[in-house]
Amino acid sequence: MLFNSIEYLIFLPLVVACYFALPHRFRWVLLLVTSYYFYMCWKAEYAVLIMVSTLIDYVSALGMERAKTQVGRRWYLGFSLASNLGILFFFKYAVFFNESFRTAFERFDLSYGVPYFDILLPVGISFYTFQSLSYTVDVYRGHRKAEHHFGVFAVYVCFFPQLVAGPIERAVSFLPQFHEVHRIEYRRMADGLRLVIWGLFKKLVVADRVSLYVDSVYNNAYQHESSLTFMLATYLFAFQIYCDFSAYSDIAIGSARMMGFDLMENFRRPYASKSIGEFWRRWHISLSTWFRDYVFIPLGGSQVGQKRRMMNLFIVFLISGLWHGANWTFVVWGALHGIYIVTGILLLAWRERLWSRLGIASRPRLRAFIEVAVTFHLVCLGWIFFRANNVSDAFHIIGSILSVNLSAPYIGEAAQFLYGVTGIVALLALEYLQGQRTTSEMLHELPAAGRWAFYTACVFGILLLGVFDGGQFIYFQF
Amino acid sequence: MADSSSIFSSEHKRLLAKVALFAAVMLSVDFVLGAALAKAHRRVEGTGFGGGVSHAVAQRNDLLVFGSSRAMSHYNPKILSGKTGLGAASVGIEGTNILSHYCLEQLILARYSPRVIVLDLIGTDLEETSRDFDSLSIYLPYYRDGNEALNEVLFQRSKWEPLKLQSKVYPYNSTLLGLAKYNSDVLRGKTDESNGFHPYAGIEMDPAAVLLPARTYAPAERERLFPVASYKPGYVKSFVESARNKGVTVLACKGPYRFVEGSGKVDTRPYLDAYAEVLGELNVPIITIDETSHPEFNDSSLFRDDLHLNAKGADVFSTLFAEALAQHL
Repeated sequence: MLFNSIEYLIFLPLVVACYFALPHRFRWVLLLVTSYYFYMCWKAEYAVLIMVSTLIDYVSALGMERAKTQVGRRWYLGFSLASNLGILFFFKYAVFFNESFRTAFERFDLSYGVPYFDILLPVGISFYTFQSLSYTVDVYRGHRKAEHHFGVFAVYVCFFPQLVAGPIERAVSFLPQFHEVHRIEYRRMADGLRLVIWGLFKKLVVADRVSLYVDSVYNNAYQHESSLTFMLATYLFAFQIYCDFSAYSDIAIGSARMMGFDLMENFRRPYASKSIGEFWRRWHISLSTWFRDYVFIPLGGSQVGQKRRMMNLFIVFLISGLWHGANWTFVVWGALHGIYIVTGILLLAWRERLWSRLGIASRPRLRAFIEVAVTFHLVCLGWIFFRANNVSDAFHIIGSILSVNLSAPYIGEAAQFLYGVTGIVALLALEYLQGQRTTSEMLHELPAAGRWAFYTACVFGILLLGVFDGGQFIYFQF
Repeated sequence: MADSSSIFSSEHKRLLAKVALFAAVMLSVDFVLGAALAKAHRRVEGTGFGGGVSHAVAQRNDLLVFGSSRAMSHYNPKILSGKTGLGAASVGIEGTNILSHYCLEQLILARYSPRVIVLDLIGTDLEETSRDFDSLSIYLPYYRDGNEALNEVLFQRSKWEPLKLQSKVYPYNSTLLGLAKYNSDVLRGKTDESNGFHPYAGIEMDPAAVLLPARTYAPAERERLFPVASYKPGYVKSFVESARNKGVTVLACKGPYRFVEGSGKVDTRPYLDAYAEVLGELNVPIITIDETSHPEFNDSSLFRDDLHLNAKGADVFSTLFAEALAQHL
């Protein structure tokens, strides 16, 4: 079931109404049933995988708590990690590595005996696996006790608003919420509904509209020559993926908030970042903090020498790239961001000297503008790999951009193009007004007339400019 | 902590009141905005221009050419009229397929009956694509005409389409710019003399590129490599029968292509063989004016791209077609 479907617009209020109609002690049952139903609308059989992950981690955490020795605790942690990552690897990467090995063997004229096989990727597996793993690691580290209520733990793993594309929650902050008694609060309901409406606007009016143009360019990369075409498509993809993913997060956070749950903020105006490091503190925050806490810090974090630290950062981004998908384009994308981060650290002092020499250090607004522009373009370079169908296409696109072919760009259907750009302008206007506040805070602080104008604009923007058959969210494929 | 189980708490009442207010405001805006958009749409309809559907439903010509961008750009109405003595117009709409042609035909036949309908054949008409029903959004404004045949097709866009169409604004999805432009044209007194004919200018392909010869496949292999969408032959049949039931003569035309090696484009000509089989069962005569029957279409200067003639090519094609058509009338 997609968030941008009428089924969900019927499902959500029904679930919310039933949630508050039920006594607290039965609410976990409702959430468990509806969450599994939500997931099984996609493919029923794969709900077994969530249940297996849930059982493994529930048992592992209890085992850790009861283990009398550190070795025992480690054994349970190892069991959880190996099982969950093994399942993730099999379903997500087995085909990729198999085909990569086949290509490598064939390149050297060696025979490769493993036949071709295909495995359907369970939607959301990367997200719920990480969320469940963070629980067992936190229990191992002593950050929280094991959850004894199996039903509550199962809901924590499969909670439908954030099951398939995050935010990736932490047990420390999220699990206790299932034990809290939630009541209907007008402010929460209104906040939640506003976020859902805004998320639907971003998805249907901006992301899906812009994708029509982006797909026509990126899926036919060798039929276009103008540098401007590829630059336009890349800039628009930057907004497509931002709106697509942040829309999902907004709808997830809004849906959860209506029931009294607080999910973590996942995006914070990422294209206003002045450095790649800042970008990753504003983009997919739940994932970047997950990698920080469960990969970077165990590797030594910032407590090791600079060389080791930079190596660790590069490894984290490489893994992050691979997490995003089983394709070399994602690996290159991750590596590129790793290079950005490492280079940023190495050149920090040099950059400060450069700003001083250029007289920009004393002009903070100009400096901020340049830094934001440079960061945005570095991110866009990465998006080329993220979106391209393969690495060859990505290099072809980059080559075309660098050829500075200024022939007239391909616009496609002018009206479609303009609708997409209009949506982006609306988004940027709202984010400018937002400033440092969250979207919820900004909307809450608007006068009533402003809020109603916002609702009307979103609803009728969706009806007039929305693409209704744009399909699933980009991050569902991860 | 005790649960709040009363449905009459102030928070509940406040929430329900706001939801009701929200619904009332949205319904009111939908009504008013929908009425304004409908008025803007009606202003364009009937003027004879306005692109696509609006132009087509204003038609009263005796000869209409249906199809996609090829119908729109290949058939010069002036040449067709000159040779046949019939008032002619193209009602081709770019990027459409047989589902759209059928919907358009239903709208037109509800208004009048031309003497002759020509269906320009293009392979992609029968190909199954994920956006087959999406492209029918251009007919949504006509949902309230009460045309059952049209609405039956529109409802296949999605199972929620009947619900969505309760909104008076939704039918105008993705039409704002077009409505604005054409309303502006109408208000400024502009007229459209094109009769639906919009030829393409210039050449966008390498004239020295090597031609890809048309391949013939055994039926089973053709079906495997070029599968026809299961529901589309039914629409071809409905298209033909609807016209014949109103006394309209139906003909088809197979025009020229210029697929070349290395273009990366898929040669969809094998679909035309499947099309010919479907039309053969319906006894629809097919006029062939293409590169196999007329060697003049081996001249690359007549083509804009692999699928479309340019203006010069369109005039050559129209002359040949009109002569052939006249013999069928």
